[in-house]
Amino acid sequence: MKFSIIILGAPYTDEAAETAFRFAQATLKKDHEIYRLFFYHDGVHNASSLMTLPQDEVQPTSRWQQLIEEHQLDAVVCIASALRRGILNKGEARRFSKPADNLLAGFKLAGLGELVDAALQSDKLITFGPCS
Amino acid sequence: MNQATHNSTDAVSPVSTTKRLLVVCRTAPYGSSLARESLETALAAGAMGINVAMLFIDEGVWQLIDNRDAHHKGHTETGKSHSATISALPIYDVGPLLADKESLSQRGIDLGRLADDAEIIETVQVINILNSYEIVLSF
Repeated sequence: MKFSIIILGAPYTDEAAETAFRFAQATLKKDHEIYRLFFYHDGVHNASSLMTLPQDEVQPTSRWQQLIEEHQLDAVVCIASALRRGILNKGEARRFSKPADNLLAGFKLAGLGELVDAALQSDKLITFGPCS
Repeated sequence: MNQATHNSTDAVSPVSTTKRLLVVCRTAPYGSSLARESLETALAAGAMGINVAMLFIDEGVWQLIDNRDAHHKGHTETGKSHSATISALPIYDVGPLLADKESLSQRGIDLGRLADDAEIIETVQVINILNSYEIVLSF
C-alpha cells in the first residue's frame, strides 16, 4: 500500500513526531511504500539542523534524516510554515538576508501543492497531530 | 529587506482529478496556528481546481463564529482575522462548510453567530460524510 504521512508536531514538544516516525519505520518494514513525508505546522521543526539534545537522548531530527536517506524518501517541509518558524534552506536565507540556514540535508522546502498531490497519489494519508 | 511574501499557495498548478477532498478541522481558531494552516490547505487545494469541502467538528466549530474584529484585539498569531478568511472560502470555491450540530450545542454556541456560509449537519451524518469523500485531511 502507498502511504503518505503528515507530521504536525515538533520533536521533543509533542509525541506526534515520535509516533509518526515509528509508524514510518513500521510501514517500510512491512514493505509498504511511503510516497511522501509532509512536515507541516510545528512539524517543520523536525527538519532543523540546529536542534541540540543531550547525547544520551534520542536525536529525533537525525533519526528522520537517516530514515529518509536509507529509503530515499521524499521529505517535504511546507515552505510557508517553515519560514514562519525560522527553518530556512540556503536559497531562502539568501533571499531574505538571514544570517544562517538550517534545513537538514534530505529535506526540501515546497508548497502545499505537494501535500495535495500526496493526498491524490496515496492510498492512505495519515496525520500525526499535536496533542493540543 | 525583502517583504516576506512566502505563501504556500502561490506556486500551485491545477490538477485533473475527480477525487473530492474533505478538510476536517478540530481545533479552535486562536491559541494555535493549526486552524489557520488548515484553511491554507483548503485554499491551496481549491486553487488547484480540486473540489474541497470542510467539516468543523469538536473545538473546530469555534472557527465558524463570525468575529471579524478579533484582530483588533490581538487575538491571532498572525494579526489577521480568522473569520475574514472563513468568509472568503466560498470565493475560492471551497465549500460546503459543514458544522457538526452536537459540537455546537455542547459548547452552547448561538447558531445566529455562525458565518453565513456554515451549514449545520446532524451528528449522525458525520460518518457518511467522511465516507463520501475520496480524500480526508484531518487537522
